[in-house]
Amino acid sequence: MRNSLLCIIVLTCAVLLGAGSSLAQDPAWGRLRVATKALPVRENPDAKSTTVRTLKAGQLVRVDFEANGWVAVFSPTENKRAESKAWGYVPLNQLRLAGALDLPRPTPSSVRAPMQPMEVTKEHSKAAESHQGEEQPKAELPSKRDVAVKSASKIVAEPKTEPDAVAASADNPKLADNPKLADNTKPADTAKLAGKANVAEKPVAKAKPAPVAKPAPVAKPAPSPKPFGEIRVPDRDLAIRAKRTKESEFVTLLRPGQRVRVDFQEDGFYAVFAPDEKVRSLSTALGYSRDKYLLTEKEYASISKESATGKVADKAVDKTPGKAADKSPEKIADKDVDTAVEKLAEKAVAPEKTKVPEKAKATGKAKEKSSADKPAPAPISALPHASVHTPAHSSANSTAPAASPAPTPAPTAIKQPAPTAIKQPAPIASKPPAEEAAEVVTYTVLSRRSDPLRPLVAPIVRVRLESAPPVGEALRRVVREIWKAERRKGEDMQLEVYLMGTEAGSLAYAVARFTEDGRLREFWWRESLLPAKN
Amino acid sequence: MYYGLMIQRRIVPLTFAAAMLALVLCLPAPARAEQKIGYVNPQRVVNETRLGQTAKADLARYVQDKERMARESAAQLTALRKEADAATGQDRARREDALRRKAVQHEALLAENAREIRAEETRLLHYVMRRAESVLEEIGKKGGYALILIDPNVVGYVDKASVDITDRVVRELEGRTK
Repeated sequence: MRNSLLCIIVLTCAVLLGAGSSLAQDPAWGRLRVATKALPVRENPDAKSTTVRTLKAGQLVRVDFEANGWVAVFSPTENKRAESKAWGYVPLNQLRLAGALDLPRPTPSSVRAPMQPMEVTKEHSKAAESHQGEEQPKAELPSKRDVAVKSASKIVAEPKTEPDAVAASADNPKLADNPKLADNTKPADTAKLAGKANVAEKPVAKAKPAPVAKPAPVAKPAPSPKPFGEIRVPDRDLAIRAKRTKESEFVTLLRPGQRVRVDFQEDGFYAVFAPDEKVRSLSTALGYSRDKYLLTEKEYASISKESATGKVADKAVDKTPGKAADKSPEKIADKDVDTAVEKLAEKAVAPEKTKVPEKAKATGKAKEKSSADKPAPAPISALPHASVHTPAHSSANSTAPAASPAPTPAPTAIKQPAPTAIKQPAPIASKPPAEEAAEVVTYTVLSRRSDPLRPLVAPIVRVRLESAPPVGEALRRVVREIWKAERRKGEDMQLEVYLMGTEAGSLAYAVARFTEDGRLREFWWRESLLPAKN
Repeated sequence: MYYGLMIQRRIVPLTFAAAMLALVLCLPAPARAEQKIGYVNPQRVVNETRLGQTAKADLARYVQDKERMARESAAQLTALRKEADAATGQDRARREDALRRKAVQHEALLAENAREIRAEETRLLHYVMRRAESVLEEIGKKGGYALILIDPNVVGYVDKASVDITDRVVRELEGRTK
C-alpha cells in the first residue's frame, strides 16, 4: 500500500516536472500578438521603410524590442531573442494581445458568468490543448463575450481572416509540415480553430462589458464561400511535393499553364490547391510547389506571347511537354525544382564567372504584399537572351504591377556589348514611373568570396550590371532581387553592384548588406559613379 | 698638405653646383617654362564641380544611413534600459546583462560608423580626383607643367596667382561632364 502510494507520488512529480520542462521550452521572451488586419512588415521601424513581408489578419507573431511605438516581429516559435532574427517591424498599435501569456488569469466568475454553452467551452479547451499546449488557457471565457463572438463569427464569415492556429501554422514550417497538425485544420476542426481564435480575442473583448451572444456559428465547420489565395500557373513542368522541401515526396506534376490556387507562401513554397477549392486549409492542399515558378496568369500570358512572337526561345516551355512524358515523375520533379537560378548561384562561387547561361526575369511591379517575400518569378529564358559578350543573369525589378505585364524592354538596351561608361543609357531615375516599372536589369556575378577563417563575416558577392543602372528605390528593389537569386541559406550577404564598364578595383556603385532572413541592414549607392549624371 | 686636401674636397662640389646653376640660367626661356609647378586644391574641385557635389550627396546619404543605424541601436538601448529598470530579481539581472552587452555593441557600432564614414569620404575624394587626373594630365602637357600638386599637406606656400590652377581644372572638368 505504501509502495503504491509512493509510486503515485513519484509519478505525479514526474508528470509535473515534464509539464514544467515543456513549459520551459516556450520562448520566455517578448509577447505574443495578433495582427488586427493585413499588416505590412517594414524593414525598419519607419512607415516609409520597405515592406519585407505582410502579416495576415489574425496572424500570431511574437513581438519585442519596442521603440517609438514600433515593435520587432518574430515567428511565434522563435527561441532566440535577437533582433537580427526579426522579420521586421510593425506599429504596436496594429497588433492586439494574443495567447495565454498575455491573458489575465480567468476567475471562476469569468468562467461561469457568460451564457456560454459548455460544448463550445469544451471545444475551446480541446483546441487550446491540441494546438498550443500549455500556452493556451483552458475554457477561460472573458467577461466581454460579445466582441469575441463577433470576431468568431467574422472568422466563419470571412474565410480570409484565418484563425490564429492556421495562420500560425502557415508561419511555422513544423506546424505546416506536420501531418497531424495539418489534420487539425480539417473542416471538422474549423470550429475548434475558430474557438481558439475566439480565445485569442479575449483581451480585446475585455474592453467592452457587454452581455453574451451565441457562439453557435463558431461551431459550424463552414467551408469558405469565397475563394482564397490566388490563381497561378506554372511556367514549366513543376512538381507538387508533400512538404516544403525539394527532397520530399513527389505528389504530382503540374503542366505549364495549368491553373492552380495557391496560398500559404513560406520558405519559397506555396501550398497548392485545386483551382475551385473553397476551404482554405492545408489539409485540402494538393501539396507544395516552388513559388517562383508559379506566375500570375497575366504574367504567364505575357511570357507565352513573347515566346510566340519568336522574340524568345522559351526552352523550358518548348522542350518539356514532350520529353517530360517519357520521364518518370521523380526525374522531372527533381529536375524542375533545381532551378537555374540556384545553379547559377552555386556556380557563382567561382570568381570571375564568364559564362552565365540563363537569365532570370524582371516582371513588373509586384503587388505590395508579395514583392518583398516572393523570390523573383524568374521565368527562365523568358526574356530576350541578350547577345551580350558577357552573358548575364537578369534580375527582376519586382515592382511592375501584376495587372499590367511588363513589356519586354528594348533588346538594344540589353544588347549593348560591353559599353563604355559614357555610352550607357540614361538611368532609370530620369524615366517616367511606367517605364521604370518595366525595366529589366541584367547582371553578371563577378565573384563570391567568403573568408573561411572568419565565418561570421558575410560573404561578399560582386555583380556587374549589364544594363542601365537604376537609382533610389528601383535600385533597392533590384538589389533585393539579386539577393533572392544569389542568397544561400543561413548566410548573411554583402552585395556589391558594379556598373558595366568599370575597371577592376574601382568603387562599387551600390552596396547592400543583407541578413540571412532578407533584412536590408545597410544600403547605399554612389551616384557620382553614374556617367550620365556626371 | 692635409688642409689642402680638405679645401679641395669642399671646393670641388661647390664649383660643380655653381656650374650647374650657371647652366640652368643660361638655358633658353622655353626650356625653363617646362619646369612649371602647378597646384590644385582638391576641396575646391569637390565643392565647385557637379561631380564633387554628387559625391558629397553620396556621402551625405551614406552618413544618413549610418545615423539611422545608430539611432535604432540607441533606441534599443533605451528600451533595454527601461526594461532593466522596471524588472526585479533574477529577471533584472538578466536584463541588465543584456543591457551591458547591448551597450558594448552600441559603442562598437558608433566607432565603426565613424571609421567607415571617414573611409567612404576618402574613397569618394579619391574617386573625384582620379576623374580629374585626365584633366590634369592634359593641362600639364598643354601648359608645360612638370609637376602638379594636389595634396595640400605637402604644400607650405602657394602663390595662387602663378601656381594655383584649380579654376582651370574645375572649368575643364565641368566642360567634360556636361
